[in-house]
Parts: sequence; structure tokens; C-alpha cells
Amino acid sequence: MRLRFFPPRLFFGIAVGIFLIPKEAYAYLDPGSGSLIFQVLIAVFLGSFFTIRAVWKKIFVVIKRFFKRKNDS
Amino acid sequence: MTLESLSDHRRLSSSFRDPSGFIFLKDGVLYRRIHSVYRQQYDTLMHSGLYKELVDGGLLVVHEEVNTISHDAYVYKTIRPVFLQFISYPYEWCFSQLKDAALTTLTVQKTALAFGMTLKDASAYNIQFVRGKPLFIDTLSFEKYHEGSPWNAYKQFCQHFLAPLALMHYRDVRLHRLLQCYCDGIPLDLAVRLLPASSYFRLGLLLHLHAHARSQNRFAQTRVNRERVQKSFSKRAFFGLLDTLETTIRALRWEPMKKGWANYYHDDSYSQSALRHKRELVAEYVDHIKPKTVLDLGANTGVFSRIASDRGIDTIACDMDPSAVEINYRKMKGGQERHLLPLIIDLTNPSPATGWANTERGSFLTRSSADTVFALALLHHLAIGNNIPLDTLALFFSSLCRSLIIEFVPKNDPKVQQMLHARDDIFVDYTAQNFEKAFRVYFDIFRQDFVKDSHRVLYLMKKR
Repeated sequence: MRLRFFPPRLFFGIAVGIFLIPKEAYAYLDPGSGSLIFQVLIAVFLGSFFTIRAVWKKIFVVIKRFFKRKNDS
Repeated sequence: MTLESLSDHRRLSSSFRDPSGFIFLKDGVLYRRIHSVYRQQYDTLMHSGLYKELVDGGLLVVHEEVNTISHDAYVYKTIRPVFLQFISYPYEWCFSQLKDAALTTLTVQKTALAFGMTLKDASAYNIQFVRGKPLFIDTLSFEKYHEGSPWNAYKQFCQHFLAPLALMHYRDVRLHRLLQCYCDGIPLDLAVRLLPASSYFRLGLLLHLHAHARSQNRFAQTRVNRERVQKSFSKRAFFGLLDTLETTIRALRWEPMKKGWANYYHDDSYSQSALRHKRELVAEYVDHIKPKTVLDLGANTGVFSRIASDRGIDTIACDMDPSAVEINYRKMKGGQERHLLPLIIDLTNPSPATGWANTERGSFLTRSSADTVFALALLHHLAIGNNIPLDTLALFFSSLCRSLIIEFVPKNDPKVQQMLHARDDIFVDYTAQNFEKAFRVYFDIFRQDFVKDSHRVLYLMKKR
């Protein structure tokens, strides 16, 4: 099963580089082009995941507080 | 002025990849020099509040700046980090040690982001166990965070931490040894080939291992437009990345076997009164020698190691059984013990020197001398179980310590009988007299005591 996240053209569009920029003196580690591109590809998913979790946590806190007040009264 | 001209500086063999600086020894003291190219990053680390936050949280090694070492304009500053008595490597850690090291790395990264910084590497070798807890030791790993940039250390994190933990969870706990073969962590394409189909159903592994590995393969030769890539990964996405990695790692578990070695002291062949007497004797010996450091070989779950560590003596507890070491580590964590480090070491094949030129990471034996070695309920496994002659064993122990607490387990002991029942007894030389003769070449026998309710003899020996 081949996993495809986006149509090939979009892949190509994001992935084809124009030129390489020289590395900074202190960032010595090779991050791996595949790993960098992969993070960009899943960025939207990760950002949404984080937002939903943050919102869900807030909702959960409100619900807990609501039930606690109900129990106290 | 180059390093080569500074004949009294000895750079550590493992500290050479990062142009930001390196660790060196001078007059027996450990220093880290910070090169001018790293100046801005170091100042940000120190002045943004990140250093204080990490040190207060017990997450980063403490250092002080020194101005007693002269240097040229290439060097910005020299610092002296707290010296670590003992260095261990990820392939010697049990499951929970590797998991805790992973979670500590993620915590350091999340904290760094809150102060506008990020980790430029996420190697498992950046973590050491100090006072019972994982500690981040690479002060020069931090760089300023540029919003929009993906995490440069993501691949390294997955290879060093996520891949081995997943393999240990899904397949076999002994796969941690793969970290010894692959110095930069387990390659993702190898890891995903070894994982079962059920790992696809765990979202975090589907993403960070399976899909990540495919992406590496697909884009291996692709030139990356770094300018564009560095604007394409929001901070929110970054936090999502760290969150999903953390959730995935927390969900990976491994339960040690309760039977077998981990149950050694609770089966019928070892009487409780023998155990009690042995503990008293070892305590007497330790109180007599007062060692600063102890190496307990064949430590099992640390029953005897704790005689030393409970007295505030720094003790390494080695055993080849991952279950025993895991149980020992969990007990250590639960008790918040500060002087014990359990490690998985097979004495018949201890960690060799690995890495660049076979000197980058030292062998276990070169790292592990101690004042006193415990060799309790061990000798027969080496001499009989592994056919190692007594004089070879005596030489081996003499190279490790100044004093030795060793137990001779004779052939009529039930454990040895068990070892011999299915094989020919070729061990005609395995006697208490020959044992003493072999060890007297290197040691003086200071004390010897019979262990009550057994045939075993405990010896306290001091090196000549």
C-alpha cells in the first residue's frame, strides 16, 4: 500500500528546491531532507491536532468545574 | 593557536562533531570551550532565562564560567560543567531508562521553545543518569528558534528514541542492543521493516516512524529550498509534533518477567537465613573498606548493591538480564535513590568501544573501574557457565578495582548442581583451594566467612 498525502504535482511543487543555502556554522547536524519535508507536509495536521487538544482541555476543565459546583451545592 | 599546540589540553574522543565547541581535559579537570561562532546562542541561553529554568528543574547540567584558561579569538568562553563520575551509553539502558531519557529530551525541547530557543540535536548521548535522574549534558545543543522552522533534530530523535522503544515494545526488549551497532540511532527504514503490522494502528508510530521512513526514502535525493522550508512549520505545528511524540512514547510499555533471574532470591534453593547472613557480611566488609565507588557485577535487582548505595556510596549495578535491571531501576525511581545506577551489561561480552576510529565511545571496561567490586553469586556463572578459567578471572577482577568482595560457590551448591546436571563435569580445577591460589596472585585475602545455611564462602580481598 503506497501512502500518498497529496497529489504528485503538489509534492513536486513543494519539494523541488531552487538552490541550497549554505548551512550556518553551528547547525552541524544533517536534518535529512526527507525529515524536513515530512514535517512541512504534516504541519497542518499537527497544528490542528494541537489546537483541538488545547481547546478540548479547556472544555474539559470547564465541565469539571461545572460538575464540581453542582456537587458542592 | 590551534588545539594541537595546546599540549596540555586533551580533547575528549567523543566531542568533535559540533563546531560550536568541544569538551576537553586539562590537569584532570573537565572543561568545555565555546567558540565565537556560538557566541550569540550561548548568550541567549544564559540571558533569556532558559538556563536557569532548566537548571532549577534539574534538567540541564550546571556549569560555571572560568577565565583561568587562556585562548585566542576563535574561542568565546570556557566553562566548567559539573564533572560526571561515570558515563553510561544508551545501549546499556533498560527500557524505562531509555523512555525517561526520551521524555526528558522532549521536556527540554518544550521548555526551550518557551524561551525562544530549540535543540539542534536530540541524540540519546546528550543524556546521562545523574543522582538517579536523566540529565541533559550538552550545553551547546541550544540555538535560537526561528518561527516557521521545522525541528532539525526530529530525525535524530526518532532514530535514537522512538525506533528502539517501539521495537522493544512490539518485538523484543533485547533489541536495545541495536543502538550499539548504529551510532546515530536505528535507521528508520530498518526499524519499520522489523515492526509488526499492528504498529500501523498506533497513530504516533504511523506518523513518526512509518510515514516518516517513507518520506526519507522518497525525498532522499531531493534538494530542499531551505528558505521556503524554514517558513513552513508554525510554532503550533511544532508543539503538535512534540505532543504527539510525547503521547506516543508514554504509551509504549514493557513489563519485566517476574520469573527467572528477577525472582532469584525468592525461590526455594536460597534460604532466607543465608540471604540475611550474606547481607550482614557484605555490610561489615563495606563498613571496613569504606569505598567511594562500588561496581556490583551480576547485581540482579540490586539487593546487595543497596548495601553500598544506601550508605551514600555511588554504585553501578550491572546485570545481563533486562528484567532484573528494569525492576532495579523502577525500585530506584520509586525510592528516589540518588546513588545507584542500574545497567544492562553482559560480562561475557560487555559494551565494546564504538563510533569513529573505535574510540568515540569507550568500552564499558575502560569506563568502569571502582574502589570496590562486588562479585556475588557470579563466579560460577563465569567459571562453569562460560568456561572461563579461574586465573583469567582473577586477572580480570584485578584490573577493575582496589578491593573485591567475592563469593565462591562450590560444586555441591544446588545452583551449580543445576548448571551441571545436563553436561559433563570438566571442571576438575574448580575448587576453593584453586580459587584462592588464582586470586592470591593479585590479591591478599583479608577475610573469609562461611555463609550460614549454605556451602558458599564470602571473601574480602585487597589488591596487592
